[in-house]
Amino acid sequence: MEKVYYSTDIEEGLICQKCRLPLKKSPARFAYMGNAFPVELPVCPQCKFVYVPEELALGRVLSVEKSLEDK
Amino acid sequence: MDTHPGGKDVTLKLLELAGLEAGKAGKKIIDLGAGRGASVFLLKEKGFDVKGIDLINPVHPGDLVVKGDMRALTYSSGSFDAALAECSLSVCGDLSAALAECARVLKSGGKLLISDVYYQEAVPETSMFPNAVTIEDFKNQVQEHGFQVHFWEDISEVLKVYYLESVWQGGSSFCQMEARSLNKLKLGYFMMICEKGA
Amino acid sequence: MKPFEKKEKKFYHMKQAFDQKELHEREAICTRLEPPQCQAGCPIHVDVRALMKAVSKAEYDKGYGIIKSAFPFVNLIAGKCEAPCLDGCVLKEKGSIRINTVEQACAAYGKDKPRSKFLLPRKNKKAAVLGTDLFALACCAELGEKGYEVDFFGPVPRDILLALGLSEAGAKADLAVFASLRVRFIEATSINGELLNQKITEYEALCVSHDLRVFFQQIELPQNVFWGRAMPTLIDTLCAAKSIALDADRFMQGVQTEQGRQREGVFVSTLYVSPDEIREAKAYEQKSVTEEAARCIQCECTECIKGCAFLQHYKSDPRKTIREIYNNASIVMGDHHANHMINSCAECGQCAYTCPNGFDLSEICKRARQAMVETGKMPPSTHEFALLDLSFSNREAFLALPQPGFDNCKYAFFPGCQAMAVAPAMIELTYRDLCERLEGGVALILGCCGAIADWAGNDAFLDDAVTKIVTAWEELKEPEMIVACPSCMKVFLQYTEITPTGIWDVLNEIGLPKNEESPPHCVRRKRAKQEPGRFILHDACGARGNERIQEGVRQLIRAAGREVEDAAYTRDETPCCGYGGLTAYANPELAVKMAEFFVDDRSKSYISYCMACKDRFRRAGADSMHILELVYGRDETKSPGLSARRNNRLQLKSRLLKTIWGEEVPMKEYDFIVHVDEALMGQMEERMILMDDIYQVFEQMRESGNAVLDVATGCLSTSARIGNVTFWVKYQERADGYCLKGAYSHRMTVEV
Repeated sequence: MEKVYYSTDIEEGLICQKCRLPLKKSPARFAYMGNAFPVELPVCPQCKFVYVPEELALGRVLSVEKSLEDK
Repeated sequence: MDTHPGGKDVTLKLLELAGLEAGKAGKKIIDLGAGRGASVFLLKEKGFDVKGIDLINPVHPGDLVVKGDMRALTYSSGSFDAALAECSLSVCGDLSAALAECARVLKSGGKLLISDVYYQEAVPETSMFPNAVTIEDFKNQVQEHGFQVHFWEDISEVLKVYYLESVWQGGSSFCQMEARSLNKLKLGYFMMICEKGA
Repeated sequence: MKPFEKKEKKFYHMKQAFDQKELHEREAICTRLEPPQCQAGCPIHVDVRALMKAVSKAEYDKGYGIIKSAFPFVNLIAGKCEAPCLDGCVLKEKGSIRINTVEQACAAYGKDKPRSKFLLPRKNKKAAVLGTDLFALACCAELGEKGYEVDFFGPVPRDILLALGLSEAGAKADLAVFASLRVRFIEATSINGELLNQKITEYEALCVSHDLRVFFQQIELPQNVFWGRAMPTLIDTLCAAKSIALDADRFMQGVQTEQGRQREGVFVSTLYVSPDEIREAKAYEQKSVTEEAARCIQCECTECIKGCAFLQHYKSDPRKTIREIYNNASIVMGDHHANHMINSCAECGQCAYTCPNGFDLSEICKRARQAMVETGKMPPSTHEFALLDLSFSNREAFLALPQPGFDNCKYAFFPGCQAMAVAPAMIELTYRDLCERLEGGVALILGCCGAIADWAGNDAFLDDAVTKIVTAWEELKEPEMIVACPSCMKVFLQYTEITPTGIWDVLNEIGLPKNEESPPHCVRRKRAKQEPGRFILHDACGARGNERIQEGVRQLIRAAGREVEDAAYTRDETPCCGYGGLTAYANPELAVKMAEFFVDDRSKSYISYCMACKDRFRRAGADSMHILELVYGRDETKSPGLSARRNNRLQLKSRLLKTIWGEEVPMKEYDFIVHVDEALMGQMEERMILMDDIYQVFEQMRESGNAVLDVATGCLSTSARIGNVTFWVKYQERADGYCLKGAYSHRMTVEV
């Protein structure tokens, strides 16, 4: 069982326009500079489109990017 | 976040490898460098009679984690069945003294459970872990203090995970390391079970 | 086609930008840690600055302690020192600071803080001192302070001090120091050779006054005896005592006696003190002692710091900075904390000129960046946008064509990427004017010289850019290159065979455009009523050290009928506008500070001869013009954002191709429109997201159909990966396209 670094708190309210299905919390993987971070994000069960919320992108993801770049 | 690489899984694995079943007859175990007491609580749950010591003032009230220096323990000789040292020997300041103390406070036949960093080559001067040594050096030191090495295994992959988690959480933990240097300097992580000779 | 050769190139393949030897050499150039001459000229090196500071606040006890730390006989020093320090005071011409008077105040009003006997270091060796003079007594104090057990053979100590003219009270106060030392006073009525011989074997070391040397004319000098010297002044005597006592101390400890003693006693300090600061200092006036102490200007060299917003921001000086950079490079594990600082320097070279010794921090930062890029330590996101911009200038927006009707052009006009981005209309006017009034044909080259890559420390990109321009120049049969940007000129001079001519020189030679007789697009610029007649000129950092450019520009401004004045920091000492060194990308807040540092008087009008500078000052809210505006028309257009800058270059190319060369270039057309309100536009600027990026995302979405509806807000979201970045857009659909509601990005990839 792999450790999860982030788990989305969005449980519902996102609909994939292509597949007409609601996105569900599913495992996904962020990767940068050879490092991978398993997370849980809203994903379309059919086409597998992953939704990255703005707060996450500009918050934790950005600070991790900078942290990895500075090493 | 885990307080040491590998977290709970490694602690449990060490117990299993040492043949220490949960709490039979209240086996006495000491956690050297217990930090916030995560392993101490785990051991207590499993029925051990556990003491944790740490040089930094313990966070939790109560007797489970007390202030103590693993290089100069205040416990009487032969008072423990086992000793646990997770990522603590490499930063305690004096490996030899710590091992001597382990040997002293353990009963004969007592088990020493270790998980820690090691270098695949000799330690460079600029290291953050001046006490970390090669596996051979470690085994030699352990044997010099009257222990027999029953088992050891390289578990370096947990180091990378630990590093990534500390990056994700932000802030610095003393085990935060440069991922690229993990390869360059050949820093690794290992598990070891030792037994005190008669 | 012959390959060009770089004129100068420095490559540092090793992890270090420079080694420790060079670190020390460079550090030594900076004199900040040198003591002022008052201190260097004092035989016992009293910390005069600290003393003045304390007394200016009437902290007499503290002052007492400062003197005492140089030598314990405070009252003796205050009352009887010959004050050679006065001669070294930089304010000598207008009256040296009365250091001796200040000391007297400390002796009179200050108290000693007695030290516990137990805090004294304990050296278990016994020393003896023989003599009847101050030297001998002083040796006792020195050896005693070092923790030795000392036996003094001589007269009553009080008598020695009284003989020098010290008062009873003063002598008592000074002798109190011995209460906490392990010194024994053994009264010896006659000190002669016999006594000396006796004691030599009893003690580890002996300090003996020079007048006793007469007893040893014939015999070999014993190793453990340290002789005093006859000194001309009292303060020199104390200095000699310190020195001899140290000899004895080292002997007893068995360590080398010479180490670290090059600056014992009086020496000449190399601390630089600005003549301006001396000039502004107050002259001596009979005032209270606290006021006199406050008159001290606290000598310090801040020449580079005064003119540089970067050093002020980091509260640092080159000495400290260079050490941080050195340490940063040697970090193997952990955070490279200095990365941000290294990437924030404007690399403008001002420090080399403001520093009296020529310390050049820009060179260090440049090499550090090169080393970072080489070893893969340069954070990718810092300069990526700028380097992409460079690529854009040399690809999509690139143009290199001869003037129509000319096979070989005598000239080529290279306006530079900033001018193209900020003032495309003016560039067009300039080019047309040059075509009109220069004989022999003027080619046009639109591109980036590579200065951006030079600042980024990225030699690969620099190579590409320079090659691109030089190749185009060669294909045009090597015309005379007319540049509008001093940074471009610097790059060409440094890295290529091209010897450019400045547009200012050209305009000075051919004069300003004539009026009605000329074709419509050339206008004589009559100064409109609302235009400034007087400017403060900002010299571009590319013109640093180049008097020809500096003069040429001034001449042009006057030829246009305007007055020009110099700023406080001008010509070779000009500060950076914030664009240089890519500071605007790496550290936007600092870049703003840099601009604001120069345009500090909003009642004035400013003029520059680099378009990047003009724009930076404009953004800082100043009335800011470029010299070409004096010639071709005031440019009132708004400061362009990132997207507009790209667009300007592209449109300029396309428009010129069409109107001058009659070529149609199919521009990328989208069959939808994206509406963005101003607030959102501002947010995109901050996040460095271009309109072009947004359009590409929508284009991809229309193909892939990937979109997510947020039921709560009614907004759609989609994303696409462009280069190293994933862009997200939030939007609502419209009949003619989309209405943008938000945009953000991240560099990490994400997948299931």
